[in-house]
Amino acid sequence: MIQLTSVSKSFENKLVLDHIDWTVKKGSVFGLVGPNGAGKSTLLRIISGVIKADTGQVTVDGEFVYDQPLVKKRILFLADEPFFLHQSTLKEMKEFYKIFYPSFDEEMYAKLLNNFPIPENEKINTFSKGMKRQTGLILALSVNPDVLLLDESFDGLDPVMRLTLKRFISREILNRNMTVVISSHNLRELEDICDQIALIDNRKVVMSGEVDTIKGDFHKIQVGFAHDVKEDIFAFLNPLHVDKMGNVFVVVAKGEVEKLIEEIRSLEPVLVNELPLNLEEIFVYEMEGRGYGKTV
Amino acid sequence: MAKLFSFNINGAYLRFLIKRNARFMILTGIAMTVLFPILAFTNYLIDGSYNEFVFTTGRVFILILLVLSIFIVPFLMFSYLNSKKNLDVYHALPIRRRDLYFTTLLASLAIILIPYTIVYVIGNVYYFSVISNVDAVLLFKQYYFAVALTLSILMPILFAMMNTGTGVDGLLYGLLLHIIPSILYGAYVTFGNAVLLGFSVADPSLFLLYASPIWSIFELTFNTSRIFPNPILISVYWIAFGLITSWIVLYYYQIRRSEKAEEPFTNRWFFPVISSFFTFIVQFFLYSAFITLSGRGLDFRTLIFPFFLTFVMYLILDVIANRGFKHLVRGIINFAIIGALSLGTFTFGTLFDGFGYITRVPNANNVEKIELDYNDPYGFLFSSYYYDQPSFSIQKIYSSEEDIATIIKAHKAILDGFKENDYKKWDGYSDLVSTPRTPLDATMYKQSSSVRIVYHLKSGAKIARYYTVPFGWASDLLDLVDSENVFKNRYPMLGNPDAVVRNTIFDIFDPLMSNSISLSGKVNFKLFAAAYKSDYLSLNEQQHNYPETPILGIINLTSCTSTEMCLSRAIPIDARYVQTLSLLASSGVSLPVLTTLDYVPIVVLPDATNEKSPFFHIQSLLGYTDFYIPYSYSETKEVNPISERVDYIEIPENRLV
Repeated sequence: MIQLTSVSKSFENKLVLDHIDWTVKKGSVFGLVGPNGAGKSTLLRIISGVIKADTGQVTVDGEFVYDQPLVKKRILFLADEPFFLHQSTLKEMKEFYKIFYPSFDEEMYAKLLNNFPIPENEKINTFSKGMKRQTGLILALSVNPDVLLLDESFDGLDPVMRLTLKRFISREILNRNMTVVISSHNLRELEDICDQIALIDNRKVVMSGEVDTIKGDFHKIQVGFAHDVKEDIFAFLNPLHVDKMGNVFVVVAKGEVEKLIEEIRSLEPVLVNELPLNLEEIFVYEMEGRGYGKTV
Repeated sequence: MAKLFSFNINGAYLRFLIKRNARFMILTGIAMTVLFPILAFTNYLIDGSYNEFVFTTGRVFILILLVLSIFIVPFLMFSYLNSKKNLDVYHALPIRRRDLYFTTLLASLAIILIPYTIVYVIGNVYYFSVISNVDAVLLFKQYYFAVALTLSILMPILFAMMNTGTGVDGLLYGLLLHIIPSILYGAYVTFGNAVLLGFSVADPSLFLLYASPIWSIFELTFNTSRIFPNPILISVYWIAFGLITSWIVLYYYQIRRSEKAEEPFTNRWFFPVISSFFTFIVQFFLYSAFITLSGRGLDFRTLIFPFFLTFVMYLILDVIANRGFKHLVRGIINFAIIGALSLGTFTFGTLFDGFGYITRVPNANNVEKIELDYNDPYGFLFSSYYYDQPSFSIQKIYSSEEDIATIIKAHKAILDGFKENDYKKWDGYSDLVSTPRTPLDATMYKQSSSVRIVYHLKSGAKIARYYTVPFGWASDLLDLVDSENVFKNRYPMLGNPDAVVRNTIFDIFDPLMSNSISLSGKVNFKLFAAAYKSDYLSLNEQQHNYPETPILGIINLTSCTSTEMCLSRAIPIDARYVQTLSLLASSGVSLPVLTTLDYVPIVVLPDATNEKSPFFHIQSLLGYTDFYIPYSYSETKEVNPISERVDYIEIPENRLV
């Protein structure tokens, strides 16, 4: 279990994380979302022990992480830009990781190599961006960590590779009870693989929980009227978003769907219909509700 | 505290790093092999014989390559520090930061030293096999010094890397940190020579020996004659420096933030401190150099060019540091502050006699001993002609109260001489001889003496002064004549008879050297040396300087410490040398009789009416120069600098015995 208690971090007097309390259960796949500069990468770097929190505590299974090799042996952090030694090959990078991670699984490595067409003895700096990402992921998964932290690691992969990776990760979670935290802007990706999700905004975790629970808490309802009405008619619902197309409205609001529909019916609409809502829309509406990107 | 010094080397990672950098080691190894054993072999192919000098040159070359690789390797090994993503990955690795740092540092040392060691061994095995009488201990010492100082050269570069965010800045400031001691020393010496009367450095190499590891590695390795300070102690000093700075750099390594990794400076104080100090000392150096070159003394017009030259230099550093001109105004203001400080210090230092440097003469009570070099045009105390005789050591140290008082008195007399002649109006003291623009008499001016005095104070400090002055100003030094040191310098073979292996000439002449008798086999040399020394030292300064006894004979002595190294002296004897005369008599030697000369020689005899007449000096010249007085004054009757002391007369025969 990853436990963050009142974690704060500043860079050059700029507060990036403000008293974050957050828990990631063992064996879960946590998606970390948030606008640019929200502090997602900083949070992952603190969890992995790259940087030290200014205040608060970070523990993995009850042990502090920063500068603690025994704990860090069980954590692998794959940054948004994968690192490779100068002029190195995948084989050399394997040797590099094997030095530090005794858990490095040669069998897994061979299996991954079969699935990802990466030449083992070619210089990595000649690879495309996507191939470099695959290389990073092959190494990260071969390390077989208890905690895998992926910082936008799927970006740049083609759909086939993304799917293959997702399958791998899903299988490993089942097999090894691995804990995975994935930060990404692509919520559709996260929706497929994550069972929990957290939203970071304004230096804090503003939303965190099971994907299904979150999805169940947000509702998109289509409402049609026989006559012209104004948007503010829905103000009493505290909607996150209201769209108007003639006399038809699309309202996004939080709460119990039955209660919302009942309240909307009191406005005597001619049409009330719940529409499907995906995680990305939830993220967008939630952020709009917080004033992010609203003016665009 | 124990935690502070605890670290673990990750052996697997160490091997990995060394293996990964094998190609670099092979490359440097090949370069070193070409410049050491292959160079010697090539020389053999050309000359058909082996030359020791070529091997020494090879050793110098591979040491230069070693130093070059010390500058390159940290940028190979610690390059991840200059990339945010790389630093994140390294710091995410399950290894303590201090362990990662020390493992990488140890790998760097191994990568630097492995090729050097291999080539050094191969080259010297080859050297052993072809050159005889090889000093194996010396070779081992040279290797030890190179290894011992490697860390101390490496650490300033790593320190610069820890405070900068890019490789270029790291390299630039690593170089600056290494050249700052040399420029600082250069600025000090140039300033002293330009504006400080009597400026001298007690031990010219001492500062750099302790301030510059690069200078020190070459000095310790190749200056095999150095005995003080003890080279081993200096190497221990540099090992300690390397270890201490390793921990200072560790501190910066541990607090290094990846957010700042790609910025020019990760420590906001680093650039202002280093660049300001560097600019300050470069300005000081250039002011002094331009004043010396112009020969106009402290003239502010002379300082305009170096001021603006350093302004451009500072702006270039500022533009590199800020990657543009956005902080140009701030840079100009910073430079204005540095410029004002350096100009102010320089001006005050010049106007106020180096803050007391010029006028300071130590109190005799505080002086433990004095090192004196005195080169007068007449060779009164020391004749320079035997300075190239390495077989006899020169006695420079004066430690008796009387000698110390004499030298201090002479020092004060020299300063008085300068004061009376308004030294501040002179343009360059070091040009005293060649520059005819002083208020002194030109003839007297030409007859200059150089005096270098190094006071060893009881506190352990040293004060050194050097003057080139008219002979008369330093004449108080002639009072040292009764010093044992002077005796040993004038007659090294009598001062140290045990060093003499054989005498090729050991004769006694009559005063005009017209007739001689060999003393070899008749007089025991060691007994002679002891008797003469005893006689000489029994004379006081008054008796030395105002002899009233005529010369009875002149010993012509050529002594050798080995077959190649021989030294000649003409040693006068008169009635004051009682023990010597007694020894000669007891050995059955009669003084040779003067034969009639068919010419009238010109000699210099003391003027009995002149109290300052230094007859003993003339005695020392007699005979050695084959009875030729190398002054033209006696013929031209010109006024000459020692006219106060001696008269030049044609010697009538009745004055000679």
